[in-house]
Amino acid sequence: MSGVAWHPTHAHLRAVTLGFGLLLVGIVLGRIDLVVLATPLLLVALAGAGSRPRVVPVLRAPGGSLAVHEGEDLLWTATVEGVPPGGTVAALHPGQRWLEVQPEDGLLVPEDDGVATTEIGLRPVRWGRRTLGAPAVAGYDAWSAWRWVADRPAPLRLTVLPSKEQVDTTAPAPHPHGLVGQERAGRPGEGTEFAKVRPFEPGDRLRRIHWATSARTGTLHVTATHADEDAHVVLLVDAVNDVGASGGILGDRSSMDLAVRAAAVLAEHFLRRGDRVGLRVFGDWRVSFLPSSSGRHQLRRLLDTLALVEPGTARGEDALAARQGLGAGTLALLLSPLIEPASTQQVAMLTSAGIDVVVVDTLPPELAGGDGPGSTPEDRLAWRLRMLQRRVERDRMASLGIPVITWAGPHSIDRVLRDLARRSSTPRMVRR
Amino acid sequence: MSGLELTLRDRRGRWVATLSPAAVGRWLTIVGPMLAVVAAVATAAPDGPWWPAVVVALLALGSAELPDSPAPLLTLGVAASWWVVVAPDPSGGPVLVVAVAFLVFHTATGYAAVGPPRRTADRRVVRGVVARTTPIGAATLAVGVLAIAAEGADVVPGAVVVALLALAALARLTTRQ
Repeated sequence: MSGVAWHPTHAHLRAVTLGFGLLLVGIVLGRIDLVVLATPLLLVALAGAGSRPRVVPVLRAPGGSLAVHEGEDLLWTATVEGVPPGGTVAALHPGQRWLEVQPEDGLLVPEDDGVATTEIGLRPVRWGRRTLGAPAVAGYDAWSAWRWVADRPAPLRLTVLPSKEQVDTTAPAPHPHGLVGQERAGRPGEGTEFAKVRPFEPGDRLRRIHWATSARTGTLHVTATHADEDAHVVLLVDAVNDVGASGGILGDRSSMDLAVRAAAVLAEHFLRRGDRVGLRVFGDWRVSFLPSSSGRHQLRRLLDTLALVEPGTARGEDALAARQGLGAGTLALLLSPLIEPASTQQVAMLTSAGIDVVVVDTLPPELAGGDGPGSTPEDRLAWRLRMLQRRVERDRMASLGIPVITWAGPHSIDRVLRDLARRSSTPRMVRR
Repeated sequence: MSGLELTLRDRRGRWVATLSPAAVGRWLTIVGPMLAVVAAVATAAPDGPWWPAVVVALLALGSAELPDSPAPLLTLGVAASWWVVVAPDPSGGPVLVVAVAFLVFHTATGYAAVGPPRRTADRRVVRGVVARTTPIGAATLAVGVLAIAAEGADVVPGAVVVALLALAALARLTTRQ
């Protein structure tokens, strides 16, 4: 290996130029004071020239893809081997929007046995998929006279999943239809929740015999249970508009921030209960539909899909699309800022098809009550008019028995699910 | 403002300057030595023009902002030229001050030029820089004292150079592995 990769720094050139220059002038003019002035620079130049590294360092830095939740810290580590004795390594990871870098301005670390390790903390603060900038790494010898600049390591590709705050709700999801899960079905069957004690019938399992009642009455009695079943939940995410500015997980929230995080919370909640959860996104050309399924893998698929959402990239979708693949008894959770009139049409269509719909309003409260994102008086007036229309639409949906809740965290949905569970037991007419 | 750090921004929120202990330390070690040079030249040649002092101070400020550039070379060059022109018959004290100030300025700008500007530095790096610079400072003082002692005697600079090179060769031979 050679030291070709090492280049002299400005400091070394300065020491050489001034050191030898002053020495030469001192000798020519016969001035000993100039020799004294040249001495430190000359010594530094000689030391720098003598410490020229002969080995090309090797950089090891991670690249590739990584999935993290927003707000989660990760460490970017670069290891440089072959640093000369007393040398240093500088590293800088470029920041970008919605990415916090610590230390932001890079860092400088000394070598230890020829190896220098730099560690930079990264923290993505908003969901989405992004490629980070390529970090910069450079090495220096002990006298900072020679510099080696590493080839830019491969940048990290991050899939930032929305944060998932756990819901602590006990309300059952309405309309359980499957055969597994934690929901109590309306009919008796194999399950864990007690229903009643009834006389023995052929086919009953012997372990179900209730011995106390059987002994008291003189005839065999068994313990009957409700069947355990799951629910079919579909999350409908309105990504036609992203209203408001996003400041990351700790800053201001846009309507898409609220929708995506709410969808993540709800998906985890229902999947944890053993329900089947699907996803449909409107207004995004890339992702539109994720079939319903259950289990931990489905949660990861859902979060991955939500991370890919790019609002406003597809418009003019058919309102009927919301109904595709959904049958009566499905619980549809529509997460929408209710800005587009099309979302109200979708709600009406789903309700008339016998699908239980819960509308989760994801317009940030400060926008709903304020002047809106516009800057001119006309924009503000238009926004206020739209907000008035929106209020009328919300009231109309509420009068039709469609629950509309403003998303204020995971607990917002609890009361609505209880109401829906009660309402689902009452018969009603639907259009097929 | 965070901790002991104060960040100044303009009306649009763009970064203007950051005042932190590290930044203040960098300014002191870069601009301070040049102010010492100005004072030493003023002592050695009180009748000299004043404007080179302003030029040197401004160049020092530029060097503090752009350490990894030719600005420090220009600063040292201007300061050395000023010394050559206005101090034809220098006395011992100011020469030592200027020589040590040159060393501190050169080391401080060299250290500031390592890595990205405003980077966080490990304390061990600073200790290493100080440990390597101190012997050079001591050698400079030794040569300066030798020059002061030789003042009046008829010693040619060439003899000092030969002695200096012999010293460097000896140091190289004794420290080489």
